[in-house]
Amino acid sequence: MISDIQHFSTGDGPGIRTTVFLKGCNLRCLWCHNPETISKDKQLQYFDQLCTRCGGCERACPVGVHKVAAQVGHLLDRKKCIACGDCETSCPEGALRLCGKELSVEAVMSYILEDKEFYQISGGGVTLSGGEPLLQPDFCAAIARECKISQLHVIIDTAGNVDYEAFQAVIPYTDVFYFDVKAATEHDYQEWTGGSFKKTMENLTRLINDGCEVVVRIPIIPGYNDSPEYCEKMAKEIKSAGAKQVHLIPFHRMGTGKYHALGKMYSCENINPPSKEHMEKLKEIFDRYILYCKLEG
Amino acid sequence: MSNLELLKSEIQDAPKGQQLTGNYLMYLGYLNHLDDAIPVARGYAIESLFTKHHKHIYCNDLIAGSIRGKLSDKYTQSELNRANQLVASYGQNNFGTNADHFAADFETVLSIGVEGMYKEIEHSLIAHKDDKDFDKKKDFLNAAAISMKAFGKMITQYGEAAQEKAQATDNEVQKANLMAIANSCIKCAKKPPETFQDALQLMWLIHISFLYEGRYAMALGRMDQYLCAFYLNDIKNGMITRERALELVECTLYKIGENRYFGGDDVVNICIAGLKPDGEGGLNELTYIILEAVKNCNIPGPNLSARLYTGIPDVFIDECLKVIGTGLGYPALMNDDINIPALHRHGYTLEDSRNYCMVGCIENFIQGKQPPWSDGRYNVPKYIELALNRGICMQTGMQMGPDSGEASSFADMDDFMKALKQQMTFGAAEYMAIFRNENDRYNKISYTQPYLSCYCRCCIERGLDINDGGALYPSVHGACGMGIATVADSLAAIEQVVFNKKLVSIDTLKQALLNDYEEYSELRTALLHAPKYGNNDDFVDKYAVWYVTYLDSLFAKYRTRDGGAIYIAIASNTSNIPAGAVVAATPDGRKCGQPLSDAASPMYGKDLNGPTAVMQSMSKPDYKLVSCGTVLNQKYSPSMFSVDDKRAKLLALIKLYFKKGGQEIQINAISREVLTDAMEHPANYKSLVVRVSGFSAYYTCLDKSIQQDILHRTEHE
Repeated sequence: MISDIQHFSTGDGPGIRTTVFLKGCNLRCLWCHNPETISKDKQLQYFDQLCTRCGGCERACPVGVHKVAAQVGHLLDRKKCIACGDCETSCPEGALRLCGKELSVEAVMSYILEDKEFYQISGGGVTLSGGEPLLQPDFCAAIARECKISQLHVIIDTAGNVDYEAFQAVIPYTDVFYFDVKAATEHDYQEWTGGSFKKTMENLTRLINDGCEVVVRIPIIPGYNDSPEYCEKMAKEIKSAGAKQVHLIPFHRMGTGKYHALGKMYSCENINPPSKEHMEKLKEIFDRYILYCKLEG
Repeated sequence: MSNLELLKSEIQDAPKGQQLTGNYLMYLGYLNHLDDAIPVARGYAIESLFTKHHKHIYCNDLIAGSIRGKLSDKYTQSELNRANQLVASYGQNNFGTNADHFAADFETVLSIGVEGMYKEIEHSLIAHKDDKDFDKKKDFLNAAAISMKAFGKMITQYGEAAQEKAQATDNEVQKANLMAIANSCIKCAKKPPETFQDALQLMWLIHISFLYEGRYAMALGRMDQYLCAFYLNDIKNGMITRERALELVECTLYKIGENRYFGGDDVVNICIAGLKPDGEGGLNELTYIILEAVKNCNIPGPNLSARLYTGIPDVFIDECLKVIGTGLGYPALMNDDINIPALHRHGYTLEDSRNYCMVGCIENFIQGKQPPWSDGRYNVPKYIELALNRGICMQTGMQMGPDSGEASSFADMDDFMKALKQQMTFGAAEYMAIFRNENDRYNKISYTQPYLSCYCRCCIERGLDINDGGALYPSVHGACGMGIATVADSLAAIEQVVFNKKLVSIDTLKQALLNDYEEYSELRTALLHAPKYGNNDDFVDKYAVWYVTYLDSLFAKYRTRDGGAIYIAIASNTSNIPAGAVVAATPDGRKCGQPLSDAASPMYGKDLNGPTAVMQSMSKPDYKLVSCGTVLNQKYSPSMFSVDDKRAKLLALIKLYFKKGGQEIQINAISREVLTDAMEHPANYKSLVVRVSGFSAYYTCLDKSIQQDILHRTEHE
């Protein structure tokens, strides 16, 4: 199950890349910027600012999800939604989108291969992201294997809260793992993400010991893990796992609209992104522990 | 403060409440020669214009030549009106009369000097004395001599003005700079330039002289090529440093913006890099200096074009991207590998084809070897409307094209395409007739251009005006095909919705368009969901390929009156907005009167698969057929330019696009947020520069609808 495939991704690894976003995640990070990738099921996204209240969806919907009237606007009764997608095709403005497609390996590959020349000229490739891509390890392995046959560079972007068997399925076909570390203690990790810190760090250590190239990616979330002291703790943990590369990724609010599109509230809507100066300061801390540290964003 | 900063503040402090008096000065020239032949009278009018205007010198300038001398408060409105009337009666030159959008032959005058130019004219007078039409040639050549001598005098006057200014100042730096100007001018008034400063000074005064004549969009062309030898020679002799050369170029180019402080506007194209006539790469140190000067000037005036070719160093493209990333929106990037064959196929020598530059926004031009440019808009989406409605305009009910049959009689896509071609064929014939007839109205005597002709190869030698067979190559015309994406999307929607899925009959589609989709919203939705150009989908992209090929075949059979080619162009500037106003609803789901797609770009908001897909689609048509040029507008967030490894991605994208046959790309580096905010708070964004399809402007000076248009172009994060 895929939520999106994006050509010309510029923030997901070297060169020009295509990023495949797999749908479904076993973490519930409070700050998640891809809320549509959390559930593994199809979900209806509704972008109010694009809606012209034409009522096409109301006429098309077989179960009465949509109520559109000039005075009240566009109301959705999402509980009734059977994810048939009829409203999406009835909408002239692209205000409705059924997120989640079951695509075959062949279909994904044909989309990926459209840009083969762009990967070659730029030293780019393919990134499998999500959601948690390794919740679909066989699918990931199949895509990655096909990519290797076409000599494409493959990155898997994971939060690592999966059984190690999932890693083993993809290791032979993966060039680099982007591995998220979000906290420094079991308590914080559980509270902020709902996952297990221990499992994450064990997987990280084992992956590095197995000789895989790993880049640790840390989302810097103001009010959570952005103090210099806390970053130092994270740096120590990451160093002891044996990591040589870290990317620091500043929090941003661009996912807010996607929460609203799913009819949800975003608890981090009012958090300000960290300043560039603050990010530089944090980088200095990581520089002391990690061989290679880079600021993203 | 740098010289440039000082000059900036001096120029920005423009006088208020004065009037343009160029016509009055010409009038004074005509008054003394009312009984002379028109070309000769024109020569004297130019003489008066060049020699009688006030020679304004900025204290902080390094290169003389300002249009401030056009302004005066000496004359009353009724005096000016009277002057305008007489000057107009002699036939006044503008874009419509083929007088601007031209790049001069600077090379010749830089090598033989102003006196050398008189000598050429004298030789020609002797050479043609036994010709049957010698009377005509004599008048023309005498007029050329009068105006060229006047130009020489004008240079001397600038030199004297600089000298006076130098004597009046106590500032030692200014004094030295002004004396250097004076020396250059006094030398260049007669002899060929020796130093880089001389050459730049002469080039700039020629440009200024065109502006006094009232010309617009006069290109400087391949500055880095024709000035390079002077620069290298000075460097070799230790006479100049790179820093000084940069300052000289800055002070020259910044004055392109002078116009704006008097409520005017100009589009001055400068072309850098590109192959040399011998096929070698033309990148040199001056290329980088000009690029840097344009960045430092930070004004929308010079329309910088950078010609890329196979093998051009990445570091140059990267420098271009850094300049684009400042928010300037240029250089526009041009592909030599497409443009050279696109020109060569029209019969220019390979050397001349390689030596092309641009005039106006992107129009390919053989510098100093052909008459000024002309173009027009050929509104292709309108013919879809006419093909569906028996040649009758859906907006007015007027018969505008041939009766190409009832829509209901079209059994398949082929039938519809036949009707469309019938409408387009008629439309092209009508377009050409109107263009040529309009052109014929400007007779060669009243509209003679003795001064401009001096800067176009063969005019003096042949004794003929630039628009009367004097130019080495005949005139060309650009027929600008509108709305390529609107057309491709419309044809794909008809094929899919009407003929493949058979959701509605073609007659129902016609009714829906006539009703502007009122009561047909579900049909419109189905049409909107059909494949759209710019997403690397062959189903629709094939119609863009067809569009280019067919447009070329339609116009290939026509010539200009003097036998030149009709180029096609796919570069609508901002006229996709007015052109859309006269087109009814189209089968792509666009409503009546809405803008058409912009230039060669996909319809805004419809390219949903990112820039690589746009470039895949865009590289399918054969742009070697588009000899005038195309424009692909793309906008990226500023971070794409500020971070080295992201810029490298953009660089790879452009390189591959050109390798795959893309012709041109123009990039903007401004975020949606900034643009939206600028619309709400224009006062905070006065210096914000954006590129509107082919030329740059201050964002806050644009019309609201154009601001919206820029905003709508998809921003690729």
